[in-house]
Amino acid sequence: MSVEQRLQRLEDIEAIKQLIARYMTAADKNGDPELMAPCFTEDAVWNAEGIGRWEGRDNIVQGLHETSTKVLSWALHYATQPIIEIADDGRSATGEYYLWELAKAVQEDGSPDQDTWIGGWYESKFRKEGGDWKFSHIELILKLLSPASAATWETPIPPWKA
Amino acid sequence: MSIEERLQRLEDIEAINQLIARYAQAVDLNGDPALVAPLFTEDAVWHCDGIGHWETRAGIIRDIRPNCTTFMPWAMHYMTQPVVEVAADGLRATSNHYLWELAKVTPEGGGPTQDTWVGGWYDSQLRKEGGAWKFARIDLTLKLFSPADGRAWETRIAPWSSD
Repeated sequence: MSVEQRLQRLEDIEAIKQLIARYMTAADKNGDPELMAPCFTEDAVWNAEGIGRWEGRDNIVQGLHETSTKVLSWALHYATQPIIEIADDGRSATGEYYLWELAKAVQEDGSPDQDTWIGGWYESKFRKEGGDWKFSHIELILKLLSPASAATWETPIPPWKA
Repeated sequence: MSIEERLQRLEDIEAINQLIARYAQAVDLNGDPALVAPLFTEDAVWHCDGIGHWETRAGIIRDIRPNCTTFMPWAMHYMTQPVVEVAADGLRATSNHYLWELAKVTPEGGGPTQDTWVGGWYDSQLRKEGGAWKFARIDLTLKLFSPADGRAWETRIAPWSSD
């Protein structure tokens, strides 16, 4: 690779790290549609076993806004240890990174929101459009989804389900 | 931007990420003045609703110390997901990064410390002085400040306060 290409690769990795951080901020601001929309390509997919699946930017933005207000009305999303690989053509990329989250989760039976520890990792795909990196696919794999008040951790999602 | 300018931008981002990490170490080492001093510009401001407002480097050095000894004698600050933007002149920058913290907090009026979960984010302004990046202003927004032994998280800081 030329110096130009090597520099571009580092710039792309940094841009994707910042995109991941902006997504987390949008999520913590109740899935604010104005912050969330620019994070995604028009044909993007968001999927998490046990949470939901949305296809297309508009559906994702709406789905995340509803989830971040009605299901998880309060949350803190921490993103750590990104592994980002830029494709040779410099137009697409993949990224794995961890999630450590605290969230107040609505209870189906109407009882008060339950403070919940959430942990796992993302396996995401990215595309560069008009000079900006965007998510084309977010796959969230949860390994921890457990009430903060519980004596032990439990995760009612396969394959971790006891 | 030239290759030189683009490289300089990445170096500046890396330097600011390391400055953020050094800040965390300084406060986890009880706000050691020798570690705190080089982090700030002389006219810096540190602000956090619910914690305090300190002005100038000397004022921050003076006021951060009791905060990291008497008020929170023990803490661990984890800094994550920085978004650093360097201005076109290469001498100013802004950053946003998250805080996940465990702290032993002295209750108002004194008494034994209470183990506490703390979470939120920093919005900072930075300036490059003599080749080194420094904080010119830090605004910390806390979204979580809750006893670790509570059955539920509670944060008595607006706008999260429920009472």
